Order: sequence, then structure tokens, then C-alpha cells
Amino acid sequence: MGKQKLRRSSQRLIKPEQQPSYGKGDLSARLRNGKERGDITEKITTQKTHQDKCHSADDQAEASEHDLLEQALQYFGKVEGHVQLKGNDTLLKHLNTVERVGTQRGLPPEGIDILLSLALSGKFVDTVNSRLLKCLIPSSVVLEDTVVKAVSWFCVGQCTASTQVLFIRWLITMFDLIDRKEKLHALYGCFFCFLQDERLCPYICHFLYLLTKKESVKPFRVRKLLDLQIRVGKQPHLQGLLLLYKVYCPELVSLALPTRVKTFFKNSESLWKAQMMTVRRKNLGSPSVGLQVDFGIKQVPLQSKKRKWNSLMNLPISSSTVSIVSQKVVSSLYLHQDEAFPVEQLQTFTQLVQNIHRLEFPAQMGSVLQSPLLLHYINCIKDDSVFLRLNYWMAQVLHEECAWYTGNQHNEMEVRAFLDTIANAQQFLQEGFSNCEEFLYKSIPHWNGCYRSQILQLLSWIPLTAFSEMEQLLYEPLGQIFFTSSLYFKCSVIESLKKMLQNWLSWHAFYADQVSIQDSPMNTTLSGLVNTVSDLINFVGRISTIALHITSSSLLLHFILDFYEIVCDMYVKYAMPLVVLPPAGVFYPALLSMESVNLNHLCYIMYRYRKNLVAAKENEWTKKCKLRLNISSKTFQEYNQYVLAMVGCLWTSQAFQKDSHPQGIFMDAKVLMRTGVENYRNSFNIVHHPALMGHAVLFLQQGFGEEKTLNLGLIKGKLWNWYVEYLYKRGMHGLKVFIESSIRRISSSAQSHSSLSESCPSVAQK
Amino acid sequence: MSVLKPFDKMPVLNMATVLFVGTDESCMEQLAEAMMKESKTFDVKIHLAKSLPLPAEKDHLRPRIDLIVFLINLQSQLSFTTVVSSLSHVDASFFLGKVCFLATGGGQMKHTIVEMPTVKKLADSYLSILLFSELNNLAVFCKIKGTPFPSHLSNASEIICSTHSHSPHAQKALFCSFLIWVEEDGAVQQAVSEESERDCCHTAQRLLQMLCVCAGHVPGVSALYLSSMMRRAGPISEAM
Repeated sequence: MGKQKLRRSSQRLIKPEQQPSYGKGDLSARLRNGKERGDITEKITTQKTHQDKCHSADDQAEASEHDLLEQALQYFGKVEGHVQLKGNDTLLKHLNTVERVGTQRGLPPEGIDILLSLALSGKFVDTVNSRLLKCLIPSSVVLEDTVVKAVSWFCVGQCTASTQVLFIRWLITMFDLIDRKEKLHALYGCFFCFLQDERLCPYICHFLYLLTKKESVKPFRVRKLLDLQIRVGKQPHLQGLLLLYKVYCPELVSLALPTRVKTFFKNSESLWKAQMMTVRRKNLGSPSVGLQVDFGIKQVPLQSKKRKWNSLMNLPISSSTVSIVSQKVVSSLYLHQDEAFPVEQLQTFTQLVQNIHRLEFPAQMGSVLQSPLLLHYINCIKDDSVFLRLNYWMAQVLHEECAWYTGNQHNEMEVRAFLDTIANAQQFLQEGFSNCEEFLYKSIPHWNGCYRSQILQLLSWIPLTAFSEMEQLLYEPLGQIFFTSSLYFKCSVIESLKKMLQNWLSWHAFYADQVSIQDSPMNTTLSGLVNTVSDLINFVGRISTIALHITSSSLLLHFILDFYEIVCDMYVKYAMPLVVLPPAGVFYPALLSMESVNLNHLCYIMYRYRKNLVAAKENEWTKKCKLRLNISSKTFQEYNQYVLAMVGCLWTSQAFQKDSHPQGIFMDAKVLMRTGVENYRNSFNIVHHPALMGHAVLFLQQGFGEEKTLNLGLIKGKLWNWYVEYLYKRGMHGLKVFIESSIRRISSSAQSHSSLSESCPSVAQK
Repeated sequence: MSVLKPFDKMPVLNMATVLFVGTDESCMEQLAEAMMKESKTFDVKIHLAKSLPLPAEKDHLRPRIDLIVFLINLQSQLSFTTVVSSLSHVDASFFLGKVCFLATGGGQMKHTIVEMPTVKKLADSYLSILLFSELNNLAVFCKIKGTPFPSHLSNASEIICSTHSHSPHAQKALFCSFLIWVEEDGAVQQAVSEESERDCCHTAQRLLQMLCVCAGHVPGVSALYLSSMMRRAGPISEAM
């Protein structure tokens, strides 16, 4: 009953024979549209002729074919009433022409307009209809009005059920070639009613899947779908559509849907795929052109079959419909302020700024990730539903497509590219996605090292929260893989943790400036955050100690010191009330390292620690600081021990006597005597230190010439000062700032010690 | 009943020996091959055993074993019980860092029979670390694909996965025909095998690093030290 009524009403709405009535502006737009399209076809033909210059015979054949096609179209345009196939030679002749041209060169939009209506009007028998439909390969685009007209014929129901199915399949295949879709969206309800038809249902579902926008998801439609599902059982096509509805409006669909089903829809495009490829190749004149390239239309993905779900790994492209052809038209159409601005047309930043109040997100949230403009937009809107959609989509894809440990099918390159895209988007937004964090927590225990750079990149964007289970979920498994991995892996893990700390600190500095901590989005207390940060630093300290134990590599040491370069400046640079010193397992390897680069680095770090500690002390004295400091006297004590050890080593030649750190290099003089090393006292000063000895030798060579036997012991007194200047000139900036800050140079080594204690009095006063 | 001891034999210069114990031979072979392919600075000897104890008659030929890896296929109860019963034939001093559990097939939640917490508990109670890996096996393949095995290959999976009654050549032939069947589904399937192969390589690298420490090739770091560091967070936090 309902169907009958619908058919009649739709017939009344748009009579297929008549042109639907348009507004004036619309009509002119159409005209312009047509003209522009003419340009395109012209372009194609010129291209073609250029290609075929040497084949004049071909040209002639083509010309005659063109005439034949025109005749055929004229014939088909004039067909009236029911026509028999039997014995109708003219019909057969024209049908053959159309088929030949259609499958080889594609049909022009006008031709498709005529033939499609004809095929659905039921004037011919079914075999002719299906033959016609099968050869309807567009050479450029399909006009929207053609489709609307065809849909009205389809609703009238003059044709048989099999033709109807074929038509919907054709529609699914050509979906991306339809130039605009506003009117199709208006017909959404019409298509929805056809879900009742058992034969059409799977294809209609697929078509609706392609057509659905957020506005199309209505409670009554969801109810209808659920009713249908109860009646016919859990069909994959229904579930596919429901899943899409759930993506758009999670609050309307509370049903648990299987996410494991990979193919919701039957393949509809198989009938036309090969021909479309040939037509495309021919029109572009290049045999290598695949599905991805097309006729001057900006990146129209032709794989409509998989577009929305199955090939999620290929990030959906937000410009799914717009062609250069219709751009001007559309921009004139969208002058009305209240209408939404489709994101497909968003090309420049100015456009974004001008239309920011009426932007509409694309049907496929994933496409946002690739468009910097949309990321800008996401950054400044406060709509939770956007993040909900993005998160829902991403969590799904990450779990389905990227979780290597679930044994699902993945394509390595795609996963890599996808993870890279997410990481880039996070980099752009300067913010981690929560589902990425969850994904990492889930997958890192199973991680053996695949997608190393991608996973580590994601790792560095884990947001700063007072999350107590970090230890169990992240540090423990990460430590496990860290210890059993290669040197380069270790370096990149440390690097990634450094970035993570940096992100945390920048985030903290930003919010500490802006709002009081209580209002911060994470809704956590400062002490919680401080604990999280110090947990991370302690974790890195622990793993680096062991890593340096296992492989004493200067490369690794370099990465570890890079990490501590961030740590030492936390208080001054990032307003984080926390100072954590490196463990002895990191400090001493760096102090006794063989490379001047690492030694220099360490000197710089110790200098920055001094700055931070002094600043912290001053703030405590003046009580300016609102934040309670977490720096204990133990930290000051340890720092002083480190500095004493360093000065003893590098400057005062008392390496083994002056070290009071429990894990330091203090050694009894008797033991040292027994080693039989002469002058062990000065073996780590700036002249004899293995990292600096090369400089000392060069310095002497430059001073005395090469012939004289080198005696490093000569460097003392005035020469010592020159040597220090020489080191500064060789780029030892860290050493310079360290010596200048921690050692008062009145040429006496005893004095330097007294100056050192200057950093201690604060502790003593406590 | 002989008990496997870690220090009853002298080590061989620049050599490390690993013993794989598990019912899933294809997995072990795959892993062993991957380990052999990796570049390394010392000789690696790999022994495979379905269960412990090892036969006593060839004991004098066997080198000192530096690391025992127990493979547990989470999709088979047999592999778990075999490992549990084998554990009693391992000397207690092995558990000072020279034992490692490797759980495979855990990703396919639907098909796991042995539960993850059970395995974790086992590893914890033996103070040993637990690794996860997706080793490639055909059984997993078929389950992924969700379609019945083609008839002419109906027993291929069994043959390749479990019994090894065929010669290596026959196995290869079967596997090739299997790949051809897979080929129909295109490159995606090929990617699966590549992926698990990659995961296998990464697992092999990790095991080699551990072996290097366990065999005493890293000065200053003992197996006990490493394993206690690796397991530091887990049991302590649980105890607290």
C-alpha cells in the first residue's frame, strides 16, 4: 500500500518527461555548468587528437563513429510507446553503436541522460534495458538531473525488478561521478522506503551508506532499520548501515554491532569496472592511468564500493564530489549565508576564516586528519560531538587495521602511512588523541618492535595526566622491550620519551600560565602532575642506567644526556616545581666518557641545574612563588656532591679523593698506589681526561711545533689558562659556562672549592 | 628423570645455546630460522624439544644451555600443560634469569583457550619474563580467512602444523599450493605472512639480546640482574 502511494506521489512530484522546474539562478547555473563541461570535453578531445596525430585513419573512424552515435541518440530520444525487439533492425543497429561507443570511449552526459531514462521507462524489453544499462559508461560526469529523472522513473516502477537492481548497482558504481548530490540527498527518504523491497534491500543499503550524512540519521529511520533487522535477521548490509548511523549519532543506536565483519556489501561495480578503466585510459591517452586519476576532477576516489568502510586505511578524501567544473557555479550558489559550506570546497585559509561559522564536517571524519585547514577548524571549535566521531572512527580503525597482534590482515605500508598521518595530525594539533593512548596501552605489551618509528612517535604524544597505572601499562612493558633490544632501538626509545616529557612540560607551562591548575581540562591536581612527571624521569633514569651498563655506547649516552637537558631546565623554563638529578649511573659514565661532546653536554646540564636550583632557592626565600616546591634538601646535597666530583675530576686533580657520592669514584690512596699508575691524581683533569687529551695534544703541537717531544705536564700556570681559552674556542661552550659558574678562578684551586660551597649555604641554613 | 642444570657443563668460547620447548614445532622452527638469519657476534646453537626431560643418552653431546624458552600456544591447552609438566625438569637455578616464556597466538581473542592471566601467573610464579608474539601458522591463517580449506589441501594444515610426517620437500610443496590458494585472495594475504614474519624477526632479535646476556657475553651484566630489572615493576607492585 505504502509503496503504491509513494510511487504515485513521486510520479506527481517530478514527471520524468518534463524538465523539473528550476529557479532562474539555478537555470543559468546549469547553463554555465553545461558550458564548462563542454570545455572539459573539448580539452579531452584536443588531448586525444594531439595523441593520435599520426593515426589519421583512426581519426576518420572516430568521426564516423561520432556520427553514428549521434544518430543513435537521436533515435533513442524519439522512441515512443512500447517497442518490440524482434525484427527491429534499426533498434539493433543503434543499440550496437551505443554499446560499442559506451564501452570504448564512454558516453557524453547528454547521452546518458537519454539512455538512462529510456532504460528505466519500460519501453523496451528487459534484455535491451540491461544491455543499455551495462554500457552506460560516462566519459566525464553524470549530471545530477539525469539521476533525479532516472530515480523518478525507478519509482514509477515501469521496469522490472531486475532492471531496478541493475540501476541501483549502476548508481553505486557511478556515485562518485555524479556532479552534485544536493537533490539526491533530498531524495534520501525515497530511497529509504525501498529498503522494504527484499531484492533491492542490499543494494539500497549500500547506496544509502554512500549517501548518508549526519542530518539523514533520524530516530524514526533508526527504528525502521531495527524493525527490519528483527524481521529479516542480522544481514551484513543492514548492519553496515546501522554502524554508519552509530558513527554519526551514537546516542540513537545503542545496539552492539559486530565490528569484525569486513565486507558489509556485495560488490556492485564488477559489471562496469573493466570498461570504466578502458574508457578512462582512452580518454586520458595513457595506458598506465589507473583508477585513481581522472578527468581533471580533483581526486575523485572511484572505489565507491569500499569507500566508506572497507578501505578505511586509505584515508577518505574529503572532496568526494566536487569537480573543478562545478566549483564556480557552486560558489555562486552558496552566497546565501545560512547555508552550510561544504568542506570539499575549502581550499585556502581565507576561505576557512570567512566560512568558519557555517562549515559542515565531511561524512567521513577520517578525512579531517589529512587536511590542515580542517585541523585548524577542529582546534578552535568546542563541539564535543566532533571529537566523539573522530575518536570513535579512529579507535575502530586502530583496533581493526593496525593492531598487528590480533592476527588480522594488514598491509604494512598502509598501516605505516596511517599511523604516520595520525602522528602528524597530533603534531599539528599539539595534542594527543585519547584513543591513541588506549591503543598504545593495549598494544605495547604485545610489541616486539614492528612499526618502530610510528609507535614511538605516537608514544611521545601520550597526554599528561595523573594516571596511576602508567607504571603497569606503559613503563613495565616498555622497559622489557627496551632491555632486550638493539642499541638503535634504545636510542629511539629515549628520544621518544624525551619528546613526551617535552610535550608534557610545554602543556603544563601553557596551562600554568593561563588558568589555575584546578580548572585545567584534565581536572587533576598539581601534585598529581608533578608525580607523573617525576615518575617518567625516574623511569628513564632507571632504564638508562641499566642500558649504559649493558652497552656502554657514547651514542646512547648522547641521547640520554639530551633527555636530561630537558629535565635540568624544568623549573626555569617550564615552571614545573620539580628538580630531579640524573642517577649516578648516568652521571659518572658521562663524566668519564671518551668523547668531549658528551662531557661538554654534561657540563652544560650541570650548569643549568645550578641555575634552576638557585632560582628555586631565591623564590623560596622571597616567598614569591605560589607553588609549593618539591625540591628536598637531599637534591641540593646530591647536586653538591656531583659538582664536587666534577671539579675534583676536571679542575683540581683530586678525582679519587674529593668524591663523596656513595656511588662515586672515591678510592683509597693505598689501593690506587697498588695499581702502579703514576700521577693518578691528575689523570682526569681537563688536560689528561681521555675526552680532552686530543685537544691538549693539538694545543701543545700548535704552541711548540711538532719536533719537540710532547709533555702534557707542561700545561700549567699561564699555559693552563691559555689552554682553557683554547678549549672554549674549540666549541666547549658547556665547559665554559660550567667553569665560569662553579669555579672562582683566582688561579688557586683551594679557592674554587670555597666558591663551590656557595651553592650549599641554602641547604645549611635549613 | 634427569634435571636440566645451567652450570653443570663448561661454556664454549664465543658460543651461546638456546633451548626451545613447546609442542608447536613449526613455530619453533620459524623462530629458530629467524634467529639464525640475524647478524650476531657469537655462535648460536639452537635446540628444539617437544617437552622435557631431554633424552639422557645424548646428554654428553649437548652443550651448556644458557637460555630456555618455553613456547605456549594460547590456542592449545596441550601446549600449556606440556610446558607446565616440563617445568619440573628444570633446575631451580635456571629460574635466576635464564628462563623465558613466549606466548603465541594471543591476539585472536576468539580462539584462545589458555587465558592470558593464567600464563602471566605462571611466568610470575617462576620469576621469569613473558613475551608475546604472533608467530605465523597456518591454523591462524584459516581462521582469519574464515573460509573452508580447499578440499585438495584439506589435510595440509594438519601436516604442516602438527606432525611433520612429510619430508621438508613435501612440506614445501604443500605450502606452495597453499600459497596459491591464498593468492586468489590477492596480496593482502601475502601481507599477513610477511607481517607475522616481521614480528617473528623482532621476537628473534629480542631473544638474541637476552641470550647474549644469559650466556655471559655482556661484561658486568648477569642474567639475574637483567631479569630482575625487567620484572622489577610487576611482582613488587602486586606484593604491595
